[in-house]
Amino acid sequence: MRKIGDRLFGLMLWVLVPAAAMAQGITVSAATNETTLMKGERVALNVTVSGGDFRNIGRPLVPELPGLTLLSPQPSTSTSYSIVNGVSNRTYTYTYVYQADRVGRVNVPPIPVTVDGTTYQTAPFTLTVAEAAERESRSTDEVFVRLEVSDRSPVVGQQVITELVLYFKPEIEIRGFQVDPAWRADGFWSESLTDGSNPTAESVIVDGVRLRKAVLARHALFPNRAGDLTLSGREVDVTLRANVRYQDPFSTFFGGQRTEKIRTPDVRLQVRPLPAPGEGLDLNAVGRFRITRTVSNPEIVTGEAVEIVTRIDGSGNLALISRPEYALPDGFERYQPSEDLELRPGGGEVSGTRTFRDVWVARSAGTYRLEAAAIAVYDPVAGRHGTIALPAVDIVVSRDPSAGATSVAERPFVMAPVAANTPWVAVATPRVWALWWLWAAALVPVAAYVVARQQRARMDRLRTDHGYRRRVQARNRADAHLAAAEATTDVKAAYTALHAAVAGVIADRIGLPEAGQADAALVGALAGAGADPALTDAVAAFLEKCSTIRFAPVGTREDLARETGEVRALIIRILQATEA
Amino acid sequence: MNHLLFLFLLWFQSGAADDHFREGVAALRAGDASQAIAHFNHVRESGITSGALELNLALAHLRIDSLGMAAYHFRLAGRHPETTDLANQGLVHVSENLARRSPGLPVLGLNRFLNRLLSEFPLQRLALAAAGMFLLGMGLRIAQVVNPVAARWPRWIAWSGMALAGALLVAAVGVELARVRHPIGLVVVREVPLRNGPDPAAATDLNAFEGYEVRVDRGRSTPQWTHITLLNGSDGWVPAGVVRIF
Repeated sequence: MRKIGDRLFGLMLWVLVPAAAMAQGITVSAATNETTLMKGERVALNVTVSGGDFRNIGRPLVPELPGLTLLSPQPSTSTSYSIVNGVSNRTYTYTYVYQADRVGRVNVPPIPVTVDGTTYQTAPFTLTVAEAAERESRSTDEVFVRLEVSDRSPVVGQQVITELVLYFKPEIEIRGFQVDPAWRADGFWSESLTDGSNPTAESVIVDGVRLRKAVLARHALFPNRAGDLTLSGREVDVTLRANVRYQDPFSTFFGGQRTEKIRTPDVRLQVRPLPAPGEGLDLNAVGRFRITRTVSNPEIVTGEAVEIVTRIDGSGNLALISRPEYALPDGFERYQPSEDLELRPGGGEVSGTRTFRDVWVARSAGTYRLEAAAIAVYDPVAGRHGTIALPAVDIVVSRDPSAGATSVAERPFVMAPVAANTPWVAVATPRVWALWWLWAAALVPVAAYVVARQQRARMDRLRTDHGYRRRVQARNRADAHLAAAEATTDVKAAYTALHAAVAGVIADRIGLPEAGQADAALVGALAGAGADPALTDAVAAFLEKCSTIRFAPVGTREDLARETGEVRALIIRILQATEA
Repeated sequence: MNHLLFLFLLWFQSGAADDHFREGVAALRAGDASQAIAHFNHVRESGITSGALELNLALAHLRIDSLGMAAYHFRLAGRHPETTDLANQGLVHVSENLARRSPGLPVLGLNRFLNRLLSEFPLQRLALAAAGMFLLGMGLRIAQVVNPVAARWPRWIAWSGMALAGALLVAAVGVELARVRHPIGLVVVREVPLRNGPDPAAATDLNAFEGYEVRVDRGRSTPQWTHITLLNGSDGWVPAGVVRIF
């Protein structure tokens, strides 16, 4: 009967799936839905055949498994079919159900499967059967969280992975959670390893009870001091629904959703001091690293800089590693070192690259050696220091051809004191506004300009104002008359000239007509101009004398010369009186 | 008047100054640089100096390895035509030694320009040019007054000359005012922290080294602290006395 069934199944498979659509390659495998189970639990063993080009499958012959009882020799079967990118694939699964009867490890041997006359073997694997605990022992802990650490006694700087793990019973449905963000890890450098994806739950057995667990958060901690350090508990708000029974249509509506605040207990770590390395530079490096040292340009000229780059790459306390101090060769100057840190969280631990850059400026020519060095790195797995060797590097510094002498040694400086003194000057340089010649250059032309303008105005007035010109030139005209009087030999003509001089100067200064003025009018005008009475009397007497002299006996030349002098003085007095 | 007063003081002091100068030279030749510096400084403190005096002061400071002060006096000696060449030779030597002693400093172009403007720009020549332009303009104006001509070009030249003179004079006075507020100096100590405030406890980001040319801000300085700006643009306060102002 079994053979008939098998043949019918194979025939059906051959009819349903055209051979042309089958792909090459056949794989067989065996697995259980749980790798750890409790005594008395049932477990399904699935034997799967997949591939594209097979027509007939012989039913797998499952072996007797010590500690497990095969509940039914008749397996349940299932099949699936898919076409991806034009390639067809079929999967055929036999499922056998066992029950665990005895605590211990169960080795599942290779299971032979015959496909189209060829026998294939599945890979062996192992199951673990644990003792079932009393059901009531954790009946009150439907859900709880733990802070699990990878090492409770690390050394300073060692990477410790902490996981915030949520445990819950299978019948609990977790609808959401919120981890308290204000968690502090005093005494540690902390780096989050959580990538933001939703946690996935897996089945585990804790204290003999089947539970499900999910990692809610993961951190890498690096203790930075030795001693007892405590990780405070973390709080998690968990929204859950209890007593879900998928067969019960009412459980969806009355399942009892609630939110619980759960806190992990504190975790104490005993941090050991980092042992001193026996050799090599101690940078406090703890982890697994690859260290390289490069020189940017080993051949330079004086004044140029070389960059010594130390790159530490790997997993460990990258942020706590100190700068390597290399011996600075003579002829170099250190200039503004820099460093940067690039972390690559992920992969379950902190890794990345720490880069230290030293900039050295060459000051003199020569060949210099950056000596070989060894960096000590503590391996927490091995529990001891190892060293990473850095080879020596030669740096050749050439003299800058564009510069003159580059050092005192190459060109000694010889300069004798200057014995002959040079002119003394003021220590303080005068300010621009205190330069005397600048002020002179500004003021002298301005003064000259003012004078020129005045002269120009006077000249213009002399040219256009007749009265003004007479007034200004009155003295000159009078002097001309006096000169004529002195030049003539005729005494009467001389007195006529003297009269003309006095009358003319009065008329010119006061603005009277040049001719035809009576002597009395001239004297009256002079008095009207403000002349003092003594002057007007003197002028009137002189003019009277001039009028009568032609009838008087002729005087001597000496009398005339004296008279001319008196007239000259009288004219000056008239000019002064009419000055305003 | 001040000029006349200075000439009188110069005549009055030159006798004693000559004596100190000779004694300073003798001390320098004898290898007593400190004594030489004392004699030369005595002359400077009287308010007068000379190219030879500045050059000898630089040589004396060079003997005692005070490169900052040597650079300072070499630069002053370079301002006197009779000692310019020797001063430049000395400056080259001092600069090479300072480059070995003091870390290099990246230079911002704007700061270099400002420092040169405030320390080396020939303001007196600018003022002389302004005076010349003004005299030209005023001369043409006076000539026009005395002998007017119909052509317009003399008037244009006159007014252009005076306008240019005014612009040059304003520029000269502006730069001079900036020099009064922001003189240029040299750091004359080996190393001094540049602090963020006029306080010995103020934070410091970097140090100023001997020979660094700095721009002083007298408005922000105090009797105890001098505010300076380095060529790379960094600024801060240093104790008064570590910077010699030109």
